[in-house]
Amino acid sequence: MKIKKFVELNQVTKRYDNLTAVDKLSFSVDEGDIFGFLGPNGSGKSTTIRMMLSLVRPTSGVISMFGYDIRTHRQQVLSNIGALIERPDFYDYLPAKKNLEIFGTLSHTPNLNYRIDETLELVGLKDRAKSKVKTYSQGMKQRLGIAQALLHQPKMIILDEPANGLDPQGLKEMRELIKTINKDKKITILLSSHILSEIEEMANRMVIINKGASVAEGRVNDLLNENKMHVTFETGAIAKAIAHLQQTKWKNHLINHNSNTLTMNLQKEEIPEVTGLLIQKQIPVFAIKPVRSLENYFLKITRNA
Amino acid sequence: MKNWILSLLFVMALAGLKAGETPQELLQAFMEKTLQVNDYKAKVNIKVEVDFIKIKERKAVVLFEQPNTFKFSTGGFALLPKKGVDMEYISLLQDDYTAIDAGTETVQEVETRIIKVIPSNDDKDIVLAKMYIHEESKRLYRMESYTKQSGTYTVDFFYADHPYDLPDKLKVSFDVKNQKLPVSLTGDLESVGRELEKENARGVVILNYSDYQVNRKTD
Amino acid sequence: MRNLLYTELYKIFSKARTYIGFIAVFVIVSALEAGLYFEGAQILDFAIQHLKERFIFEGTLINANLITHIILNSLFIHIPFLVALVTGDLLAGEANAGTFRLLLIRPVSRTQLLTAKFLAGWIYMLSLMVFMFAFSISLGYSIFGPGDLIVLKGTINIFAADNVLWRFIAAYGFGILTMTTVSALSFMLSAFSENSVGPIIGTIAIIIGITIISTVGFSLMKPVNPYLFTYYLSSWQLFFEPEINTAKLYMAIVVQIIYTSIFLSITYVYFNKKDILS
Repeated sequence: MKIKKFVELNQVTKRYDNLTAVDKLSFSVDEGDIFGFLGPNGSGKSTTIRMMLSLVRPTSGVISMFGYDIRTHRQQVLSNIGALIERPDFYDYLPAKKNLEIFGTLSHTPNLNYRIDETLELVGLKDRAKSKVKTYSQGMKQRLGIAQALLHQPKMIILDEPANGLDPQGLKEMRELIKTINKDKKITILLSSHILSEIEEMANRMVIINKGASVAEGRVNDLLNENKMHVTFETGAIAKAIAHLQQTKWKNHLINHNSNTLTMNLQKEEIPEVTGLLIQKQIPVFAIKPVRSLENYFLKITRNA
Repeated sequence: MKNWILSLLFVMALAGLKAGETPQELLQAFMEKTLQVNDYKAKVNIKVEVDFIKIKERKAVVLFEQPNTFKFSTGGFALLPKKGVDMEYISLLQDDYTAIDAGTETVQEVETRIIKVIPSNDDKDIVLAKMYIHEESKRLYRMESYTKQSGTYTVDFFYADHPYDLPDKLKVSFDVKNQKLPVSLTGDLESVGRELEKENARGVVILNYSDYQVNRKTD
Repeated sequence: MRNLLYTELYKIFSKARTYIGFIAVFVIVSALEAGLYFEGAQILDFAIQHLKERFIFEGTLINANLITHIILNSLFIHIPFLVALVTGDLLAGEANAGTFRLLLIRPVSRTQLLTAKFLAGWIYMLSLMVFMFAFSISLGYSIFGPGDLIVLKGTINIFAADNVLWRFIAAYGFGILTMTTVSALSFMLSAFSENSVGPIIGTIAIIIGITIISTVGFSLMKPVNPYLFTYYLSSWQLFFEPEINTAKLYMAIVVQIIYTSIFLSITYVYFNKKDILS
């Protein structure tokens, strides 16, 4: 069965005066994906999402959604997308239900009242439908944000940093909700975040961007394969450990070292063998810290952002 | 011959009698005629022709009662000249005055005798009045008044067939030179305090009277 | 479009600030009528004191028509401010609240949205004007009753009571046109701003600023003045002259329409191209 491409970005660039916010970015989202859009703060994620939703005009490149160019088929595209961008800002002076009425009307939602009740029930806000949004907590606003995205039964929703401001319980509920929407409602999801674990937890495919450009794209499992790891050994005799390893088949696996740690490029199954080697030579091993190579890379670029 | 001379002398005596009516006597006769009217009620049409006033003709009802009570009533608003419509000559001629002959003049194609009236009482607003009276009919055709507070004004009297020879029309003319324009209630600052530009600006108010009901209270 | 318009109207009339205008009009009209009730005779006497040397004023000029006419002067500053208070918030308020992010991702064109917003703002302005007229004249009638209207502007114009109502309707109609231009101006400024204070203050500053320049630099500005929309903000007074200056009236109408079109065109072009970053 041919997989439909719901989103295709092709060499999309956005420049503001001297700043290039997005630099020839290309990636695609397949139907049914929970697609992770990962990058440190300021990497261009929000700008990219805004371009996909026609809030921002690309300087160059093409964005196709459901096979349609967003610039020429804007209304057609937007009628099939729901989105929550950054912090959910509603008309605070109006009740939640009224807010949804407004957005649902603009999205030409059929059976609007029924849909409002249904989505509020889905996100767990039915009891607070008549409360003004200004009385809502951050978590409730996030959930209401998802409700407005789902109202018109879109084929795809885009969630930009949906976990922002949520406590651990709220985070857990959000994850469950996203998975439910994707699995039960068959809605494709593009999920943007600067937290790898969030993407890893929920997404099946992802792209990592840095400084507006793509650095990696593919299946999450492939990219974050546990078998490709950077393993850091904390030891009391670094020089002795390095000297010994240099004489073994592991010499090419050495990445770097400092006064009390050395890091090696290993697969998961190789960790016990290397640990055993060190111990055999009376080299004490105080700690072993495995980090997946891509995760390591992401942490580095996040630190530098 | 003798009869002819006697007749001539008789006619000359009669003429002499007539030509000799003094100003006081003429004014007296005029007052006698005027005082036949104790009161009247009439409809009046008021037309204001003043440069800086735009108001359409207004209808009013005027009530007069001796000696000097005048009341105008109108459904809306009416602008009346302060002097000239209130038969001021009645109170003028009822007090002490000096009357002086000032010749004759034709007014409204009628030869009138001009009599200057100077009130003896200094308290009066009028300091001098010139009355143009037709000797035979005792009709007042024009009155020019010089007042202390209201400047000068002229009233022309026009007659038709109204009872007691009451006027059909009054035309009151007065001087509006140096008349300051009013302060706007609506913030038109451009014209505040501005004076009329024309040197010899005159204002005219014309009153047309009809449907006189005279001496209703004494009938 | 009907649904869009209804939505925008609902948003406007759900905000407290919308009612500031109606409350302000209520207070202004009530205060003016109370002032006229207690002090009106003295004020009018003062205004026409020089005339009383020559004329007797028979009948009363303190009536509903006079107060309604005086109230029309608030069309110069008060009403433009109260109009801008709402229309200046139409776009800037959404940017400030962040609601554009949810609004503009709907399958509705920005042009349609702008049209609905401006129309809704215009309906607010219309309702404010109608309220001002209805309230001032009905309160005036109940306190003072009808009567002839005196208008002091260079000359003294006195209009018969039965010749006044159509003038008020025409004046308010013209006022609606000038306030449409003010709405368009504040709407345009609102598109450029992320905060509604700027468009509101900006609108009034432009009106007052241009008016001051026009007045103070009169000789220099004289050839330019007839082409400024502020020049005609008080031109409703044309309907209170014995002979209406139709040439000036047509010019006033054309200028207002042109400026309104310019302001709205700029708004549409700019907003359709604008990147929504709020």
